[in-house]
Amino acid sequence: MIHIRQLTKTYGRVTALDDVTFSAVPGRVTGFLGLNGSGKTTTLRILLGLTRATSGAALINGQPYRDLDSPSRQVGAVLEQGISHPGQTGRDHLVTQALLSGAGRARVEELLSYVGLTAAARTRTAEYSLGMRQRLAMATALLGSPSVLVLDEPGNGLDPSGMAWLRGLLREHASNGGTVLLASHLLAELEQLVDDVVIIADGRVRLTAPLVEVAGGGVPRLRVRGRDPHRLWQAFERVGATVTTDGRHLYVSGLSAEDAGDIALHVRVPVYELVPETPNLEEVFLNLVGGR
Amino acid sequence: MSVLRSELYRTATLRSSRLSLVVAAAVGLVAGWFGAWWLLAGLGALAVAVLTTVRRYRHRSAILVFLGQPNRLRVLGAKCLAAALVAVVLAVVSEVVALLTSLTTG
Repeated sequence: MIHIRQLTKTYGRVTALDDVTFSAVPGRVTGFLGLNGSGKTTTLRILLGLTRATSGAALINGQPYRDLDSPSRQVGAVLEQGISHPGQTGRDHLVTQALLSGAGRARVEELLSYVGLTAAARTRTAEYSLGMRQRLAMATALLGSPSVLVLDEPGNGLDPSGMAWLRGLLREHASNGGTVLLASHLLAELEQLVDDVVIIADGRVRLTAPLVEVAGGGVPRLRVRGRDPHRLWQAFERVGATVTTDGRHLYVSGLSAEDAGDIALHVRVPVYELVPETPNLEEVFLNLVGGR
Repeated sequence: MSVLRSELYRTATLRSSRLSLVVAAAVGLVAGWFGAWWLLAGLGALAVAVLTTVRRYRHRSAILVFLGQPNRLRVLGAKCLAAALVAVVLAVVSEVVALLTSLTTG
């Protein structure tokens, strides 16, 4: 369980975080979304005891990270991809971290196999691809069999099969009662993965909600393409619908598809496309952060 | 203790660290020839300690240590102890070599 409460961080006159509050609960994957520089990494660094907050609290299982007993056994973290000495082999890197977290050698071999790096275990990490480094980072995070995972952009560098592997891993962790907090700006990938969404922009939380409410809870609309868009527009507006256009399509809010079809028939305008749409996560996100 | 073991393992498994230690031991051997092995062996150990710590920050792996042990004083203590142990091993090896050298040269 992760609780962030009224977290504020200032660097001189710059406010990096402003009263940030949200939670990530067991059994669910929480996506922490924001543009670069929005405050995601600062929040995670405070949560993991690497940076001190100006005010507020960041708690894992009810305690600040620095007060946790055996933190590696409670929290696994991927903060930056490729954190390892390039001269060390993948296996030696994991053994070094296992000694730190109290995990055994058997766990190292188990994780090398789990993340698909057994064949590359004796290769120096300088020769690893970005995806391999990301897999090694995930193995490092999982060493202590933690219940809480805190991940910053874990999908960077992963190919489609790597992303599928990561999705499976995180879903399995959550379904076993684990807590996953996942920061990213790759919205399309997150949409297939997260249960809850926290959107941050300019250091302030703009939205916290379950994904089903965010992506499906927006105002549904119709995408319409017809022979005479102007006449269609006027006809839709006459019955109180809201109409916008991107030049090619009309976007109509406040009408069902059946009503829109009947109206088009009534004004005798042929319709070539009539598609109900709900906003996706990306559209909701861009609306909230102003489409920067 | 876990940080200490981790640091020692890391030092032993890094090729650059091993190379630094060999160079330091060689310098100690040469210095031993002139009777000042202890000074240069100590300096060599200090250089190895500085290099391994600097590399922790250069490759940002210091973050992993702080995630495993958030108490930075404990990390500092373990690093000092690891460096001291490496220095002792290096000094002993250098001394043995220096002793053997002095015995063989009469």
